[in-house]
Amino acid sequence: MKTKIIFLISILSLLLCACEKDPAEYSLDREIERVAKKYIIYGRSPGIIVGIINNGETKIYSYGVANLETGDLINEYTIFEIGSITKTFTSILSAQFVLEGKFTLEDTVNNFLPSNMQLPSKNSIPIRWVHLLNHTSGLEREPDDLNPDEPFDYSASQMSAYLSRKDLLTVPGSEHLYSNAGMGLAGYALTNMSDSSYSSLLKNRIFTKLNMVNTFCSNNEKPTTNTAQGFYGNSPVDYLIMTDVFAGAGVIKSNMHDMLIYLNNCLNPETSVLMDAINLSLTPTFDIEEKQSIGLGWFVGLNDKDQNVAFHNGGTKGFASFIEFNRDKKTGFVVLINSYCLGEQDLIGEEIMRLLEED
Amino acid sequence: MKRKISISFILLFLTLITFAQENSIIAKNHWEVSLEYSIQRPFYSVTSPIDIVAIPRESRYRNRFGVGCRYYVFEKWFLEYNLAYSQEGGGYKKLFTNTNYLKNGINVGFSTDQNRRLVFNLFTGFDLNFLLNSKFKNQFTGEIEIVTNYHKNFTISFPVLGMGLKTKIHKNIFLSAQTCFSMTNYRVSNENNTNVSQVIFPAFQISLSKFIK
Repeated sequence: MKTKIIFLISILSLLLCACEKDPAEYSLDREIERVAKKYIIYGRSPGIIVGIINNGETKIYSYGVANLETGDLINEYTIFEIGSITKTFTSILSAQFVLEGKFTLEDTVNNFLPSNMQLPSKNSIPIRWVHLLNHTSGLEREPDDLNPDEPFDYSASQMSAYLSRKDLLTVPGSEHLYSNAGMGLAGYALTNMSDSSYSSLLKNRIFTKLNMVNTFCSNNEKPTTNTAQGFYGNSPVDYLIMTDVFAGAGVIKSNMHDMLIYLNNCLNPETSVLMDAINLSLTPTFDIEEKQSIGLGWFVGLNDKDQNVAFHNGGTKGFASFIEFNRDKKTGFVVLINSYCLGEQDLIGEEIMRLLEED
Repeated sequence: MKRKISISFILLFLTLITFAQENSIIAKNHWEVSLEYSIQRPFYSVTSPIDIVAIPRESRYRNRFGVGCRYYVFEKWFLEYNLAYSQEGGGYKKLFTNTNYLKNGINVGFSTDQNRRLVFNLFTGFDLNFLLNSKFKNQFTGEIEIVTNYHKNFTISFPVLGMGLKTKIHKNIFLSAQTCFSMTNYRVSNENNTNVSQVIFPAFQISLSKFIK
């Protein structure tokens, strides 16, 4: 009898061991779920989706809904505005032009803009490509005459007039001042010199090459279904209208499926068809503070363990986003949220990165 | 000498209060007990108090039931204690979190002459809140999830502000209508990185009260 009981206990123990999840993996899943889900629980956003690449494995966590009218759930193909993460695409695009010898980062941008749209200089120092791409141009964040209802529906002639009447805030190359106008103008200069729209440039040079088939610039291109509705509080918000003078700063709409392709290419540039351009965009060009620099578009730096990280956030009136990766640990993530946030996407990013780095 | 003067002033003050209270309902009955019901609009404010005014919120009304007890320290000044079951939370119309608290409110207030037809009162104080439970509801899918562990078990609401009118409806029965505001600045979130305040505005309260003889 005793032997039978011991035998049964042994079998049960073995079964329990077999059923038990890997504690490390289970814990990471649970923690990421908690970080993401709390923003839905606290009523901050209708929906959130987090995609991670960790230990060569891709995982997606989604909570809430894409649309508060229909209750459609969010999945990896749901389209969001990615906002300022677009700037990293503009930078990679610019890096491609540099690598093709079309200009150097030290070239004056005015040579590539129309003659009626010329950037101001300060102390006889002109704005160079590197200044636009690392936010040291001295340009304001945005022009002061944007229409509050459609701020980025701003024509080239409005931009020309703005640039001709406005002085730079700082000497180009001397201070880091984040500027949507600057990055928008970098994109515009690229379109001007290549005689192509910003949308076509991205499509031909990045989206198609990386097989990002669900990524768009124009609102007309985005699908009619499985598109997240953006919200400002409880008010639905239309997708931004962005003319070519601002497109480079935040026009892209994408989904988690495509953004994870992009993340994987940035995380592992050595396997990417855009290897050299990505590497150039991640090369530090200006030190913001200790361990924190900016490359071309990307914020790059060292974490507490002196590992190389790069990130960018994004935010529009109805959406928020974040992308970050640790190039040494080969881990990274993307967060997409269909609600305006006051910087919480950075806090989510900070928490998720910590979890991935501790894993 | 100073001590004697102080004692004299206190005695004089107490005498004046006693004279003032003569013939008033307060002079005979310092204690007033009440039954209270509120319909209130709670919402979460995440990250910054700026977003309370800047960002449009859902108008999702919930209930509060309670009992109260006022002690009129002086003719027009009172201390108040409420014990209430308060339904709070935040979110959107069909995607929301309900948090339910047992609230212990301690207020100090001012009230105009109780013998008038309409009595105006004004109060402020704080609530000590004990979380009973918290549920996240997705009405699109019907999913209900217990999320009590996302919220702190104990919070303090401060300030609590309110004002209202009271009138006699029977010999010693009073009906009050009040509007209130309260804010749980001490965050309700159980997450280190997420600062969530519970704001209640507006709240409309009606109560029936009676002076104890």
